Amino acid sequence: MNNKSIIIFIFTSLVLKNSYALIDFESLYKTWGAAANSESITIGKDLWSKEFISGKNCASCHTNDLKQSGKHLKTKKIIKPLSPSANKKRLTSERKINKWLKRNCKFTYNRECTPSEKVSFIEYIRTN
Amino acid sequence: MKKTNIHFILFFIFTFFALQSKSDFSIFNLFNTSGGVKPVDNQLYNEECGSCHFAYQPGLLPRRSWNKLMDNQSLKEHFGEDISYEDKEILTKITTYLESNAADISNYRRSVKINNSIDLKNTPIRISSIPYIKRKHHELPLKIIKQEMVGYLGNCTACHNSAKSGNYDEHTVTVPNITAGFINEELNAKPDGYEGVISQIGKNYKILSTKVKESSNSKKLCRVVSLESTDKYLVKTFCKFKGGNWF
Repeated sequence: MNNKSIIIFIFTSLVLKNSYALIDFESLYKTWGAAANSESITIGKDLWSKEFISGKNCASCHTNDLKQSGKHLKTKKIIKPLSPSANKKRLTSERKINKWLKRNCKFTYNRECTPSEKVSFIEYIRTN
Repeated sequence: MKKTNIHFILFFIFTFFALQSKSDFSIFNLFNTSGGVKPVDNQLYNEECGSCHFAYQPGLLPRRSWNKLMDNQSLKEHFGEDISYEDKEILTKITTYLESNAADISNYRRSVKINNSIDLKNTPIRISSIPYIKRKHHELPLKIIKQEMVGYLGNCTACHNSAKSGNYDEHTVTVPNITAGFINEELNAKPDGYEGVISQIGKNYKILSTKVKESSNSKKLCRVVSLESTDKYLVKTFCKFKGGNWF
């Protein structure tokens, strides 16, 4: 390896290290046994404000504007914006996506979400 | 000859202790304790627990309490919520951190006080049920705690401006003003001359002016507001420190 290629190699690894991981959503959805379709975003938007338990929906904590900070209904802790366009860290870790979908569905719906509900949420968050 | 030796040794001992008392890493720390509670110094705990609620310092509960709280079975019912872990490795890491910095292990002054106030037979899982914490807050009327900006006693940061750094000193406390809490957003963002209604108490108000009040060691932002009562106008000044609440 000559000097030039070493420099390029170091530079590329620095850039890769500093950028957030890109998630292959299609294969993530596959692990849930579902896939996105043309309706997903609108379904996600509708679900966002739907109450399965009275007084609780996604917007209760995250508000209706995904670019804004929200506040935890119970603990009153500030929640940073969910939208990746306002908060670069969002949707960059599969582990976290799975963890929060499980937790927050249980918190808001008292049950886990179905694979297609999960796809709709992520599609809605991705695009808003 | 003998006398010189003793002088030499005495001089040495004296200098050693004199220097030690000035040093941060002094042997006196073994006997002396630091104030407050030890700040959280664990990124994983901060992320995992601190994303839903204030990351309570491990030194606020004894080891046996953390052990009980962090059992995966009890995390299924964590104050009414299922937050049990599938990834046991993460759970073990957090639990180890909490247990090894617990109130009965820490030598921070407030942790020691907390621990001393708890009967060994008891294993509290709520920090707000610890006798020392209860005693320290017993003067607070319920309406102060129940107000919108606070909500519950466990919302430390609502009043303790330095809670994050483990400093719960009385001088760092600003209890949010209930009336100010109703117009919190407006006080933050609206210009002088803004008029509105506080629906909760049915009063009209107008923001009159804004000023910065500076004292020797602190700086606060204040806004003068006129509140309209049925028979008179009341002029109140609400202030806040940077990042704090209106009081």
